[in-house]
Amino acid sequence: MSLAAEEIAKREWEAMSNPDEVRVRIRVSRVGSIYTPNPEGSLEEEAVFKVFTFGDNHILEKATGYKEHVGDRGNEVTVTEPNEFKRLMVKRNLLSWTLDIPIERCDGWMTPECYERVSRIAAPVLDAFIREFELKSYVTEEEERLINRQSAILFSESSRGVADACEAVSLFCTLGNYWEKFGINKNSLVHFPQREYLMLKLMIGRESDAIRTKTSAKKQPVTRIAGRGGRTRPSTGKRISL
Amino acid sequence: MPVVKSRKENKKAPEQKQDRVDEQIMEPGKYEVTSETTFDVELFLKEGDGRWMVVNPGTDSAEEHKLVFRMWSYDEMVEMKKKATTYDATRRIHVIDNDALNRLKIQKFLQSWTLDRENPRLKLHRVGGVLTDESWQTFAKLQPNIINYIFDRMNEVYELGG
Repeated sequence: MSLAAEEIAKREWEAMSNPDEVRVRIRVSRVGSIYTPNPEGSLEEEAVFKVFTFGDNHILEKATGYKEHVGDRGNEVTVTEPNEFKRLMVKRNLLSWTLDIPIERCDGWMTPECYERVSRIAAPVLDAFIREFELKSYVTEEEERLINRQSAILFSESSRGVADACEAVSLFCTLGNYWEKFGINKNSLVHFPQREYLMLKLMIGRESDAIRTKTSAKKQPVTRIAGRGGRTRPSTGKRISL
Repeated sequence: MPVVKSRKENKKAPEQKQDRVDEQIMEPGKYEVTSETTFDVELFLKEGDGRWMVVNPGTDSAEEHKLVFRMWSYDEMVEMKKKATTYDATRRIHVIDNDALNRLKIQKFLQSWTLDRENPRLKLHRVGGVLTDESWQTFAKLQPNIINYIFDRMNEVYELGG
C-alpha cells in the first residue's frame, strides 16, 4: 500500500516537475510470437512524449487538412485526416521510450531513419501508447460533462464554490487568481511553499466573500403588494425620504 | 477520399540506406513486425442441417481449421485506415468503413489457411505479397457466419491487441 502510494507520488512529481513532458505507461503480454497490449500483462513499457501544445495541434491540422464538399451547393470545408494526424503526432511528440528502438530526433521532429524503424512496431503497441497520450492531451466527453456541471455551480449567483473541484475548475481558479494577483504561473507554482500558498488561498477566499457581501448589500429590495388571489405586482407607490 | 499524402515520399534514397551497416546487421526489436510475426485464428466447424456451424473447441466430430495472419505494423495500419476512411459530410465526422478495412486486412495479411486441405478450389493465390482479388472472392464465398467469426477473432488481435 505504502509502496504504491510512493510510486504514485513519484509519478505525480515527475509530471509536475517536467511540465513539458507526458509519460505514459502500458502493460504488454506475449501471445505466441507477438507482443500485444494487455492491462494485465507482465511487462510494463513507458513512452515519454513532448506535451501536445496548441502550436503542435495547429501545425498538424495545417499539414493534414484537406477540402471536402458539404451540402448540395458545392460548399467546401477543411477537415483533418485523422490517421495521418496521428502519424505526424508520433513524429512530432515521441521523445523516448523503453522499447529497444532508440528514438533519434532532429529540429523538433523524429528523423526519417528513426521513423522507418518505429513504423515497423506492431500497430496495437504503438496505438496503445498514442491512445494513452491522447487521453492526457485532450478533454474527454466525460470530463467535459463534469466541467459543464461544476462551472454551472461555480458561476451561479448563490455560489459558495465547488466541492471536489475537477482539474479544469481547479486550474481556472488557482492559476486565474494567482497569476492575476501575484504573477505566479503554472511553472513557478510548483516550487511555491505550501504554507504561503495556503495563506494566500485563505486570503483570496476571504476577499471573494467580502466582494460578494458588498455586492449583495447594494441590491435594493423590490417592494411588492399582494393583490387578489395572493398574486403580487410591483409597487407603484413613491418612495418618500424621511 | 482523403488526399493527404504520406510522408514516405520524403524517404532517403535506397543507396544511402544500404550504406548503414549497423541497420543491416541489427536484429529486429522484439516489438518490430517481421514475416514471422504471425498469429493464428482457430476455427472449429461442424456440418448440420445442410450448413456449417462454428462450434466450440472439443465438440464431437468438429473439423479443425487454422488461418495464419501476419501482424500489422504501425505504418501499415495507418495506410490501411487511410484507405478505408471517408468523410461523412452530414455528420461532419470521419468514419472508417469496417467492411473495406476487413477486406484490406484479409488480402494483405492472411498468409495461409487449412480450408484448402480437401478442396483445391479454396487455394489462396498471392501476387506481390497480397492475395489476388480472385482469392478474396473465394474467401467472400464462405458462409457469412464463418466470415464473421474470422473477422471477430482477427480484429481481437489487430484492434484490441488480443
